[in-house]
Amino acid sequence: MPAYQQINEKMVEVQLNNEEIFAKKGAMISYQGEVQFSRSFLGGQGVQSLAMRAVTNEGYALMVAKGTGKVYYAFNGLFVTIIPVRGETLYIESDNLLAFDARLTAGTMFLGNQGGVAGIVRGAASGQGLFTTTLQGTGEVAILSDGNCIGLPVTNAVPVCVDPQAYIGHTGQLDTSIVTDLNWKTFVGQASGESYQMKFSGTGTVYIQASER
Amino acid sequence: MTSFRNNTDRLLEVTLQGEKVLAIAGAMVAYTGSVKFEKSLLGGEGIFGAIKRKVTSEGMQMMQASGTGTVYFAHNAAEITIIPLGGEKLTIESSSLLAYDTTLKTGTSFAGLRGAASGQGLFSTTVEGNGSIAVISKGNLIMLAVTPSSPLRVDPDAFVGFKGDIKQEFVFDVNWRTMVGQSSGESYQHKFTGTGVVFIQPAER
Repeated sequence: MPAYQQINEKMVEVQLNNEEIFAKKGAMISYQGEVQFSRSFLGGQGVQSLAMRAVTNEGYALMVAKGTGKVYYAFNGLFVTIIPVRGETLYIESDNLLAFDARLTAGTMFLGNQGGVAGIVRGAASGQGLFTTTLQGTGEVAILSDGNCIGLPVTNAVPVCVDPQAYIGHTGQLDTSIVTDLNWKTFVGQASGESYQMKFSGTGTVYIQASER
Repeated sequence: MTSFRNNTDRLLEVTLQGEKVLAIAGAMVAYTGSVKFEKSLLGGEGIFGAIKRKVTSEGMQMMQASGTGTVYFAHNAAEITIIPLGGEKLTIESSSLLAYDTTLKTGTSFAGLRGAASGQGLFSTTVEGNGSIAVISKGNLIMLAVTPSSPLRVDPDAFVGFKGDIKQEFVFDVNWRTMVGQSSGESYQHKFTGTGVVFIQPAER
């Protein structure tokens, strides 16, 4: 299985042993060994999923690297974090996805499926579209963030509220809902800029970045 | 008193226990517990302070977070430094301010010619009292000591703030080359004399 290694906070090295890895198109910065890069149309998801992706605009251009050697990935000087996925589902904004290996199954999730109307509001509010990307299985995912990526633990006792613009992804058994904090000041144009948040409750981890889109 | 902590160098963690903290509007990225966010109309300066700010356009869009819990603040992935104040007075560019305790008193001060050169407005924000203040900078914040024997000159574009018993002056280095458009790009500096600390960032606005 491909070994992920963080070279520095903005660069990741993946060792391939006749394996495949998917990555954001154009994110390869160098490689050693015999590695071929080609545009991946299906992204390891099959035709139906591709069609869904095209329709839902949760589109990302992926390339697949195949062969034996070391590949280095980085993108726009953004911070890179490696998140291990162990048999669970990682929800991640497609913009923040850098690389993942072929052991993981990628899919597109309609936010409305997960939290009803609130899920739709979440997509609309965060400006990230109504769909999000899911990665399922066992493997590693490299994600991008503007500023360090911070994983906040969520427990039953301590729910976490997150600014939709700083949200990157989450994993675990989490319910999402929208919290609004509107008062008369909001309506006279004196909003604090924090009028709605995404609330995560349950058990899991929420990933945020130190910057707002 | 609220506790300020750097979660990472770009994320500020503030623990509230029924207290209040003021921060730039929109800088909250996450919170736990029950915390309310409200636009702060007067910024804790009273009506006179608010009017002064309006007139001097040293405007700050601040919000007040109150309640019990942990709040995380970040702004554009900029580096965050916490400066504790023990009764001293800190002068800072309002654009570099991220969050501060409500136990601190803020105001506006006339910055003189420096403001015109740095494009930061002619007025600076002053923060005074006991408490913590979180400052954002592009790149790590650098603290340079000023002593009576070694005055310090700073590029106005890199200037963030200063603290202590310091006098500020404006220094020109203009010669015939500047006039024909061949300047070195360092024709104006800000000179600090006295005893204290000057904060700068390794980036020029």
